[in-house]
Amino acid sequence: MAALLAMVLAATVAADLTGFPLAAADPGDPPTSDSAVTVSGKGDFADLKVTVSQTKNLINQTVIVSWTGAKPTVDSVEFYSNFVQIMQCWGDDPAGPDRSQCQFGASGVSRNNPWVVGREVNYRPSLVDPKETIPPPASGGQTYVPFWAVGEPKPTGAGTSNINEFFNSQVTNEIPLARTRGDGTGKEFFEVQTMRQAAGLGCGEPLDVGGSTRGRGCWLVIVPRGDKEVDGSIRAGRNQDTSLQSSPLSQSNWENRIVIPLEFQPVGQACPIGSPERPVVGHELMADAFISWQSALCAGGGTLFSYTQVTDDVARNSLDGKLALVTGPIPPDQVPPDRPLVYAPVGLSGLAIAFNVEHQPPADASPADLQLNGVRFTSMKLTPRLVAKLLTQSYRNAVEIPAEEMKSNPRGLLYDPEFLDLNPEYKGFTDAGEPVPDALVQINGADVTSLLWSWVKADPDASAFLAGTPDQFGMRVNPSNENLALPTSTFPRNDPSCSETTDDTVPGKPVTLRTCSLDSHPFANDMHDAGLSASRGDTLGRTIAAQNGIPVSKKLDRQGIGRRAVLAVVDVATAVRYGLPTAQLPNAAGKFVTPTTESLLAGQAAMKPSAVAGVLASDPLASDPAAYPLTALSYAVTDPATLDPAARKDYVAFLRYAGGPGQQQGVDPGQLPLGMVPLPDALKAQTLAAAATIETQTSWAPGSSLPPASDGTVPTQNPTGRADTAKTSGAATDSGGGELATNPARATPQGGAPPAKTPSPAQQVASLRRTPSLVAPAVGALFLTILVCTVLAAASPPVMHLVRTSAPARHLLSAAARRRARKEVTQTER
Amino acid sequence: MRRKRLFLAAGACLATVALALGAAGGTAVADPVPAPPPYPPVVGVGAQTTQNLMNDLCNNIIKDGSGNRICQSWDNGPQPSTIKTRDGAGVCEIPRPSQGGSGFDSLIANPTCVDFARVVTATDKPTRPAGFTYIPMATDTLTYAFRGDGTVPPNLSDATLKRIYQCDPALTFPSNPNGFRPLIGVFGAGNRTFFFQKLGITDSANYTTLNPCVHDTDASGAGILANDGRYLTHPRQLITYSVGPYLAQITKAEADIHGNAVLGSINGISPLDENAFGARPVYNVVRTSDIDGVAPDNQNIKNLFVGAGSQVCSNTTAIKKAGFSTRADCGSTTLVSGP
Repeated sequence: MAALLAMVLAATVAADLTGFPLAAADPGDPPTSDSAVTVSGKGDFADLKVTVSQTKNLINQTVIVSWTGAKPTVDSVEFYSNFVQIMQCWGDDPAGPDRSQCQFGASGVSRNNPWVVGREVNYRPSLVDPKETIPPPASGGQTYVPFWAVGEPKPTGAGTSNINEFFNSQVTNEIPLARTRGDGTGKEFFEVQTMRQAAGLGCGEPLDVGGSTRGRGCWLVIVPRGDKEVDGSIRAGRNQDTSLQSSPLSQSNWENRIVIPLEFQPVGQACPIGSPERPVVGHELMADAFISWQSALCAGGGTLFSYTQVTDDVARNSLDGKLALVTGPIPPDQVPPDRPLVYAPVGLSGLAIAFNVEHQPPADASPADLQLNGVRFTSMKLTPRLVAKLLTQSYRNAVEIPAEEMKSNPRGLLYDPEFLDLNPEYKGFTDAGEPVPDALVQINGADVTSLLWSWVKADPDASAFLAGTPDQFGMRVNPSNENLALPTSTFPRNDPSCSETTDDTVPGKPVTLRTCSLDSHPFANDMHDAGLSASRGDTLGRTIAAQNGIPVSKKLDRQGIGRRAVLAVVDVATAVRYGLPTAQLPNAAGKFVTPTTESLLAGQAAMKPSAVAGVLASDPLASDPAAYPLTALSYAVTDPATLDPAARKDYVAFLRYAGGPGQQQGVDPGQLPLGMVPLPDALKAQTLAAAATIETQTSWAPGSSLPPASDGTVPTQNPTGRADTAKTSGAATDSGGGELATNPARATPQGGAPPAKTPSPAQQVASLRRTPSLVAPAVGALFLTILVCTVLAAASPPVMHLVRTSAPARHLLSAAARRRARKEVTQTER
Repeated sequence: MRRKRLFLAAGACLATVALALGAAGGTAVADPVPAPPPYPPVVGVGAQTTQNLMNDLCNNIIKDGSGNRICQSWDNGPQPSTIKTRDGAGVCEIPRPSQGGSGFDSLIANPTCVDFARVVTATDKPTRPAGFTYIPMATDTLTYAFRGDGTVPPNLSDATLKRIYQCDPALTFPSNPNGFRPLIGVFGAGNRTFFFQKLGITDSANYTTLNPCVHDTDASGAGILANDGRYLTHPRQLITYSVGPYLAQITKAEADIHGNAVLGSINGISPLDENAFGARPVYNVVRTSDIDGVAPDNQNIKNLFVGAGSQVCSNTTAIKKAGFSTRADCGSTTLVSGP
């Protein structure tokens, strides 16, 4: 076992392609850690060896489950026989979980043989599991393995369903069908869930073990399937009656399981209850780092720092009495000269375009090509113009009814000749059903979004495309998104088209069902939502269907196993957390780079002074060929004059940690998450100096100066997106102010509508803020007093509903889009 | 091969059927015959694929002790578009479902007017509400059909069929002027759901908008109905077709609407072979509460469908005459709807 681990580690160190420590074999893979575990199968599956890439210190994240020594799955389209089923379970018995403790059966995968992915344990008169202990119902019908939720007594009777109050198809992490390739190996990306995502399992629940707090341990269970059914019959065929039918929880199948223990970081109470609490307000880029640092900061009776995730704009307006984490500084014209702010860099990361695209060779491909069936692509090159196409709803399948000008556009990225010329390895391995028409993007405004648009706009081809010039293949921008005012801090999606059908099932009550582009292609709640969804093959799309004569919004199924193709615009830490590879983007030197330790450090070194001393601005046009163009820093900023002594003391401690031990990268609590890069020494020094300044300078008299910038340069005006962001942050909304100003005819449904109608929280802040003072007391009342100690340990987007215009605004957007829809509804289907 | 014997058996039955019907044309019946009233107590709607079998059973074969019909099975249409299933002025006048998916919808929406839905697939199980049971009845095979005088190959791989139905520009019209022209039923139709599932195609309500080479409506805009060869008007058209109805049509055991259609093989395996690519059970869906042994149950429905000894399952002759194979698990009640 140790030898095997050593081999695995050696292999990964040798293949360090990402530049991050603990890197794994394929770019984007969750890194193999020193807690990887390999377990062998037994009986018919004695040759099977399953490895899990990380089994300790787990949070809600993605791990790799890989295996060797299995038989290839039959066949390349379906899962008739010889496949693997993977689930997460709880259970305090050290020997492993009972089958009733497993989260399985809820995937909702549509199949001709549904029991294979369910909890049913009685099948046909001709198919009976002789080892099954749950009897079939006396009067016929179906029986199930019950679900035993943590904290409840073990159920005594049979179950009645595949779903329950704890999990359903929207939340389950089970991998009901996993493919073994032609060479007998397989690899899946499994989302490990804590008690926050899976309340019925309770993994990571803080438990007192011998005086210290541990997270409740759980299990990963793999059930291998061959071609033998529970009654011994061989099922080697390719239709319903000649393939496997029974559940992995059926006793005979369950006996072949492989069980691997999972250790979790304690969730929710890294800090003892009753610790004094100190709020920090900040953007999403620092959320994962902050949650990790929390436990180290409160150890030994220290302060409990709570994090409220907001947009950069809102964070910049939240300085009264607090520390805020942002990328871009408060515009100098909004800061009174006698009240200088203190900035300290705390995090280095960036924005990425992550992807989850699996090879889909046709069923008649060569054996060599079929070997790649379902295997994830590990690299992708995108140009600014391709990104522009993805972000402007310009591919045909990105909208409900393509405008006339779009009718001959490719259906998606994977069918765009510009993409295929650049990425020829995708040819022949894509499926027209999953063409990648767009990317998952967040609904909130963000400084890094402006950075992305600046990078896009600087490219002449992309600019021309956005202005309406077709590319050399004739593809045109979606006219609804033509001539956007860029850069902007949001992702405008103005296409108003809707498709309509009538359902007349109920006599006399025909129902009109109207699905608009923002229903089938909605926004994500934030970047974590986008990344997690992409890792699950979930496009977040919805359709409008009839239920009891009423139109109801129903979520579309996730993409099929092995048939995933989805992109997401996320911060780099989120991409690494959910095991997603990231696209190579060209920098100004023409080199295609992914975000790695080296490329982010180069991107940071190329940053230019902003309009504010001590704050650097990202330069998407840096000429260093090694630089990643979307590198971004996170700065802590505070107005020391508004800090009471206790707050001052706390924030000083925070900055000392952030500029010191917090930059140590790793998976342990207190460390810097993988996917962020430890700050260079000069920036750490700046942070420590800022801490010292806040600590020692107790009066901020007029004329007192700020601590010098780390590079000692004189701040100059900065032509990048920073300036635009600065302008719009004073505007009414915190998103899309730019395009509102220049495209009045195109009433953009962004951020909840023009200012007069539905003011966003940032709007309220702006109206309350009295220049030159930065005091905004109502902000505190609006946003504070949420104890969100582990708000991002949850990583469940519904937790983060504080100030984001998330789910409610999406419905607003849909409604708004519908109201403004042109009379373009043509298709009437039955 | 089970299937080939069946084929011959069906032919031999022809004379018997014509005699029993006593009609010169020998055409099979459609909808409840004679037309109600009286209204047989068990009402069925849904898929075309099994309607003639159920019509035969309900109109001709299954009777109570007094010789009255127990069930009424309604065709997929198209006319009249409203059907009435129970006695009483204005009672149970409902739209006629044109395929199995909408038949199941109607069973859910009209619980006092509909008692069972004929369906050809259970792949919609996770999306249906709980409370219904899919009871297998027979084995059928879905394949594709084309004009006998057309230029569609008699054998196609599933990979090629997938490319055709995904509008591969090299293979399909209009991108390729000589390309194939695929036809299929409307979204929700069981043969379409099953066929796309087998090929690995993700279906959607706007599939034919996104893939306009595929047509699911005829020239007048009406949805394509199942197992009707008369839609094939061009030598490069192909359409999904069920083996059971095809065999019954060409033997005139039911109304012969096959037109010029001939059946194709998939992956080199004859559609009459039990290992055919599209072999599948066909079901009748009932409310679980009618059969679950918890009062009140519906004894008529139980007698009709539940168990190998049920009226439907024991009528193996009728099943075979309709072009299907029998199943050992006919009448099983273990497959239920819901996630």
